[in-house]
Amino acid sequence: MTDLWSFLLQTLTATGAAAFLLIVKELFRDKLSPRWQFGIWGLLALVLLLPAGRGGRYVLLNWPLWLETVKTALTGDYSLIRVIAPIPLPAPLGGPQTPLDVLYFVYVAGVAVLLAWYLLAYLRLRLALRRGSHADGAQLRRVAERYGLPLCRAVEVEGLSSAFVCGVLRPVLVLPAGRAVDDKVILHELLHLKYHDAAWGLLICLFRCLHWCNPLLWYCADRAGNDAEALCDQRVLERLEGEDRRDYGRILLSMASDRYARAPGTSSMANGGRNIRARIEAIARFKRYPAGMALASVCVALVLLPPLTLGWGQTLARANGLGRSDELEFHTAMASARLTSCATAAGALDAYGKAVIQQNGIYRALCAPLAEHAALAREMESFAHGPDPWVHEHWESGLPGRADYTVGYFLYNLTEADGGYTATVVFPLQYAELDGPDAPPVYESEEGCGYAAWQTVRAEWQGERWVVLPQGDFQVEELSLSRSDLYLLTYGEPALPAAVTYAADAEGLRLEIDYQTVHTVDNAVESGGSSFFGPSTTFDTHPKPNARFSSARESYDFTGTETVPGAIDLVDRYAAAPVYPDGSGPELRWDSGQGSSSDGTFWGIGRDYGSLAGGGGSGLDGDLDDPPVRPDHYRMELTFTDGREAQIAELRPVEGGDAP
Amino acid sequence: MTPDYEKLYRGVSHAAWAYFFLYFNINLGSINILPDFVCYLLLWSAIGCLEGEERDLGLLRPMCILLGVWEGADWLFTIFEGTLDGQFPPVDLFLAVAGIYFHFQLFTDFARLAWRYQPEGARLDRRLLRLRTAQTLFLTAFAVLGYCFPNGAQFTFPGSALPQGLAGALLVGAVLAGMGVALLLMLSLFELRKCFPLQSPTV
Repeated sequence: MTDLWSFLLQTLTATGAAAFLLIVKELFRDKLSPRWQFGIWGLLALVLLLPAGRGGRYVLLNWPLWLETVKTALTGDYSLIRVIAPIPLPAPLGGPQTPLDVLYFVYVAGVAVLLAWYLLAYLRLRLALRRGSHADGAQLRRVAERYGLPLCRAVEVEGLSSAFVCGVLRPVLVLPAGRAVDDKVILHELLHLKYHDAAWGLLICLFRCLHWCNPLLWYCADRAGNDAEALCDQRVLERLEGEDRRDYGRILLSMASDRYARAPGTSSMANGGRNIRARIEAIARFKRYPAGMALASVCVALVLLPPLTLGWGQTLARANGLGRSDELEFHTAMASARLTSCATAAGALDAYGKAVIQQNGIYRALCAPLAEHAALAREMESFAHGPDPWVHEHWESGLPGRADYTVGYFLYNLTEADGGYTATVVFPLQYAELDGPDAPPVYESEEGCGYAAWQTVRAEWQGERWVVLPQGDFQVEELSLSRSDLYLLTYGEPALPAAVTYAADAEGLRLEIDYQTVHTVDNAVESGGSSFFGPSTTFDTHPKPNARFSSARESYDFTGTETVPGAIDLVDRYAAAPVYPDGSGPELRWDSGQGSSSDGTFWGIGRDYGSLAGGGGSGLDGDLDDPPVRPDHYRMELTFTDGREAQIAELRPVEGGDAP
Repeated sequence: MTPDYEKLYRGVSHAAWAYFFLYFNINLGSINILPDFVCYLLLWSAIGCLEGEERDLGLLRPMCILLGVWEGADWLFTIFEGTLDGQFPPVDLFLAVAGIYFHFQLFTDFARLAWRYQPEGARLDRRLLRLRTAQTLFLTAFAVLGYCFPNGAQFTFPGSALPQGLAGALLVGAVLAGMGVALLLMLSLFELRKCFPLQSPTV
């Protein structure tokens, strides 16, 4: 905890868990054993020890989202609240700068004062014990031997009303001087010693100090202390028989009016009248827990363990149609985008694609570096409060046209680079703004072909999230597809950038292969209508921050052009096959006519066609989320009509091969 | 005092049919025609019939109301194409642990009844206890899986994801195991019913 917000996140997360556990304990108050009643506080201890809000996750109640929203609304700060450790860490040098810094300083001072107070109380107690006299060990040894319990140093001190154990590392059993102590009281204290209850008490004390201003956690600390005593009673009763059990109850009753003081690192049988009444009620229920109840106790704890320790992951809050004046909902959406980190590169790229399609700044924030959130928010605020009636989440991506949101986007040429990925995001357009936003939109070319815009982006892991960084402006291309066939972009498109261009010069020919890959995320969602072939689907425009790629294809487009006039007419047939970096690859195929195979080979005829052109494509194997292995080069064999020997050319990647 | 065998018979019958409603679901459109809340209505009735014989059963009434009301509200929501499931995670968690204890204690009490009324040499009580254990483990596994796969969403512990295929296999396995346990629970309760001799109808 390094500031007030991180302390609030930690303590409120623990408060929610504590309130929940109190309700659960109330439900099982007379049903589950004292072991469970005390042990279940271990879950709260885990919540207190684990930094809250890890990875944006929340325990039971979405405190991270609420606190982020409030923080941004109050301070305009778009950074993420982080709890590095469950203890207060020194604030940055230079002294408090804001009232919130002052409050954090007060909190840290409170922790220090309370720790010092507890330490002093403990030291005073240990000093008082030094003045005590050595206790007669005969009774202690007898009780310890009878029940097989460990012993420790014992002292007698004047003025005590009850025995107690003091200390964790070098515990001392303290007995009231001049008063006979019942064997059962000694048994109770030796059981505290055996099960290190003083250490648990010390841990509870530390939690009290860390959350000194949280009354619910103090109440829970009291309850945990009482449950420890009730558990010790249970252990005593398990070792006693018949009349001894009733005697033990009477001893407890005799302590009901005793005053008691809780000191750190101690455990005492007497813990106040009200608590003793509850313990006596527990004794009355002793043995009513059916055999096998341990199973139910463990199962209940097991079910509670994951949600209370790991919590729940964030989901993006409503990020569409935010009212222009609804600041709180806007802050909530932005807070949600900060907390909902993209867990995969595919998820980040998916969020970016949908941010562009929807012109949605919240979606963009989902996959943007945290450092850019403030600027993004300012941009959206300026649109919301500007002269045009934009919704609050409006964002200008710079897309030169309007995206066809029924088709979505395509990720071309995914490449691993410097620990991240680069890709070309392709957006089919309903219309293109070829001459700027003020010129009339162009829906299709004179040849009836559609347009697409593309942009190179980089996805990289930053901290706890994948982010997308645009690497340049959008470019618009006229496609070889008609507007109604834009969904076919999933099979590759020669007009769009290639991942690699392989080329060679041979026999008066320039041979080139443009190689592309296309990755997609499954974004099909039922659109409501249905037909004989099943329900119709459309593109899901809601981001999927944990998405994985659902399909990946490769495509290759071959062209041969003449560098010597008439060279193409002399080509009889050609065939090509990829060769991978490890030297593997399929054999050349010489099937009839023109065609391609799923192994990446293709073939065709030169003569009579007047040109060399061909290609094909297939689905990629392996883990789709791994970047595809591209061919190292292509091997192409050409046969000729003039009786020359067949020639083999190796088409190698060329510089600038990713240009369209 | 002679036990009211007819009442005991009726109570155990209601409990047996309750588990039919709990574990089997048939949907007409979005509406479950074997709603879970009927299970708790039947168990409420069963507790009323049996608590004179097994006093601890009365302690389960508040939980029975709680679970039944929630299931009833969820069923009403499903009529309107909605659901309460997953909307309030803390409530789901609370009900999950309440359900585990409720069914555990219920079968513990049924086993006690069986021990008291089963014919000499019969081991129905032991079988009921074993089924109780299986059901408790099943409910626990189902609750943990429900946490891992909220509403069929992708499993996301921080920084990793579980393959969808494995998630599906786990869920199918859990459902099959649940149906097996449900059938055995029902059969055992019907067998327990036979331990209460009904009077022959007078002619």
